[in-house]
Amino acid sequence: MNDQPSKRQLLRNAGYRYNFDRMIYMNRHVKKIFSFEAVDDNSVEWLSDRIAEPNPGSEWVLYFNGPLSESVRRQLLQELQ
Amino acid sequence: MSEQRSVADKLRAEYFDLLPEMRRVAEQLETLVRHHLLVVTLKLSTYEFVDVANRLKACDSAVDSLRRRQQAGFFDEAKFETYSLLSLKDLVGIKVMAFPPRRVEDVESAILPNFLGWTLDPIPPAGSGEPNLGTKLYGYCTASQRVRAEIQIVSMLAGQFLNVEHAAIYKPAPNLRGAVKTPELMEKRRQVFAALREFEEAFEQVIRESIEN
Repeated sequence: MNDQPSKRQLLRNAGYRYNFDRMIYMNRHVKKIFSFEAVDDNSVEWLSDRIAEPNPGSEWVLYFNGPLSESVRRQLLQELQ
Repeated sequence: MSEQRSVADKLRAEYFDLLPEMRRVAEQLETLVRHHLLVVTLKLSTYEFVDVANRLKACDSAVDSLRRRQQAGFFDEAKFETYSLLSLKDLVGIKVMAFPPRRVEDVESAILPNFLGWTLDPIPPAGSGEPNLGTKLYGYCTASQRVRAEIQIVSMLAGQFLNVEHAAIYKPAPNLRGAVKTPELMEKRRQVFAALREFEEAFEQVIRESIEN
């Protein structure tokens, strides 16, 4: 039986909220975003490590399965402002 | 000087270009399905039902469906030319709903052998959190080699729930389709379909026992 906390719970406890229109988990305070697919495809340990990583800068940190195109990145960041 | 068209603009124009073809596909496919179902529908008892309905994906719904498949739900304007509604596998849909559950199996037996070249959608594995929405298959009919269609075979109550869900939630606001992927809603939805299935199976059992007595 899986006794690890669920990924969803990890994200919630860390202050991430799900945006269903963009299918992302985001935390405005630490300026980090995880895509639904990235959360789904990676392990709890991976997620836990990425959540714990500090964001030293003022830029958003995006965790997606593949690199985002410049156009998509621009639209996403524009929407977040 | 006019502004450059967006991907969504291009897709809306494509939709209305495809619409006559979509209508022909719907008409041909519904007729074919009804024809193949005669072996079932002509033998139905008074309490049994098989319902066949076609639907064309609405323009906004089609564009939104393609948008949701993109990273972060955004079209990449740099790939303007690569987007097409023809990549959707359900621009046209035929839904066959049957009651009681054993008639769903009869419908599958009548339909599936006549669409061998079509692709069957895999049933979600147990524990995946995805509800089993019945058998789905995709393919082309002779009315169009471009517009793909979907046939869905589902129990009556599950099918009616899908209809109500669509009419009440997604038709007024297509972007809410993404909400259903929220883990909490996925689990609730799975429970709804499981409960409807249990109800139908119990109903069928009661009818069967009543007939046997």
